[in-house]
Amino acid sequence: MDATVREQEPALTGKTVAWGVIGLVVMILGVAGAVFVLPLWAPSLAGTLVGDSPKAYWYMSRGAALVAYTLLWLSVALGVSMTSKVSRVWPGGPTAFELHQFASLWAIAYALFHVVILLGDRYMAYTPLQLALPFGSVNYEPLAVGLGQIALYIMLPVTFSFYVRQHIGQRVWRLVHYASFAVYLLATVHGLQAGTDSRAVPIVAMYIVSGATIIFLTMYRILMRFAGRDTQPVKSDG
Amino acid sequence: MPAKPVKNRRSVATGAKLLIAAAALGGTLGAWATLSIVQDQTADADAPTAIVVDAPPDPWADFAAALPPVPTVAAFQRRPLVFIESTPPPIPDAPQLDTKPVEAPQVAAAAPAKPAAPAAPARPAQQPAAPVRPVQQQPAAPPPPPPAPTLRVVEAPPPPPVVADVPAAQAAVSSASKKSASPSAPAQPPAPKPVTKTRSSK
Repeated sequence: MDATVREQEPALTGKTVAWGVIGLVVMILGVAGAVFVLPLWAPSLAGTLVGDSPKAYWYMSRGAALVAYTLLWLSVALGVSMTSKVSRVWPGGPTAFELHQFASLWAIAYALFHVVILLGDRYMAYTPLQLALPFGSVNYEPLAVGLGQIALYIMLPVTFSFYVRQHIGQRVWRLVHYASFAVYLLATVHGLQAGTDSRAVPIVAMYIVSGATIIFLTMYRILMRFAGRDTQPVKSDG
Repeated sequence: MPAKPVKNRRSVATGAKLLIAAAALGGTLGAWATLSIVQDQTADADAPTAIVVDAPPDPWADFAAALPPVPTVAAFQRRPLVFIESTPPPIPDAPQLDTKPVEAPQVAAAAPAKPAAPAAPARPAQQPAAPVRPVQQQPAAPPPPPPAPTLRVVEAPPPPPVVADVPAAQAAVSSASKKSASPSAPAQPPAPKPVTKTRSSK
């Protein structure tokens, strides 16, 4: 038994060392940021928490929206790469599946944080009903905000269909998963129309890279299917 | 290609998840800090105020920009007047030329086209070369009075005949008094009457 376990234990591979080095670099960068950068940012951050109408809620909502969109993009890109077998090249089918699921859940978490934190912003003065009801944002861009609300509502069943996949069947699960394209499209339109940073160069670059990646992977997926290749999604080993 | 060990695969996935989580948290905090620094410097140009800032362009702005600049009152006052360039500048020392034009008719008559001299002293209307003397002015030295007739004792001629010589003597006395008469002549002592002697008084 012990010998069998020892045989199955992997040796210290290069990838493990690489991930360790990456983790160490991230830790060093985090410590350096806490020591050197945070004292510089602290006054500005503290300034957004005081006053009659603190802006920290608005800023955190926008930051969370950008992170949620990035996670949504990562989730969609990993999902499409799995169906087109691109994930077999990198980072591997099972790893791609785990990251796809993880990114979807975190995207929902950040999207919810993006919405809920707006309740603290006194300038917009959103009510819970306005945030929950699609197109209920009468104070600011009702249509664009409503598209984002619909995207979040669609994203919830698509993501949690992971856990009911055995019950609803593969076909239904696949049909539900096609809605993820609609989620990504609605979220993109919501960000471009309602986002106050949409004209900033880094944000425009983010939208361009994100859209180009999804379009490329989707077109590759369609072309591979018309070529008669196997396009079945990779099953998770975990 | 042999399948990857499960534990190694899971460690890779776990590391990737940690990286994603750290990037998400760091991205949120970094976005918050960046927005608080950048947009506080730009008077919070975005955020909710962007709703109000996004106003339609003002069509009157281009029209107003195309108009020539309107001179201000101060600029107009600084602008030199045209007639000053063709005429000598006003002399502050000779304001009487402008203030009392009527009192100098002789000046205008004597030199009508000549402008006022820059160094002309301030003075009233130019006096004529030969002013009219006032009436009360003292005349020049009066002419010397005629020499008073000296009285000489003359030997009385022999008396003419009394009756025949009286008119001739009176005429001589009247002509002498007329010759010495003058308006400004001082009062002269009355001429002594010729002694009319009669032959009879001797």
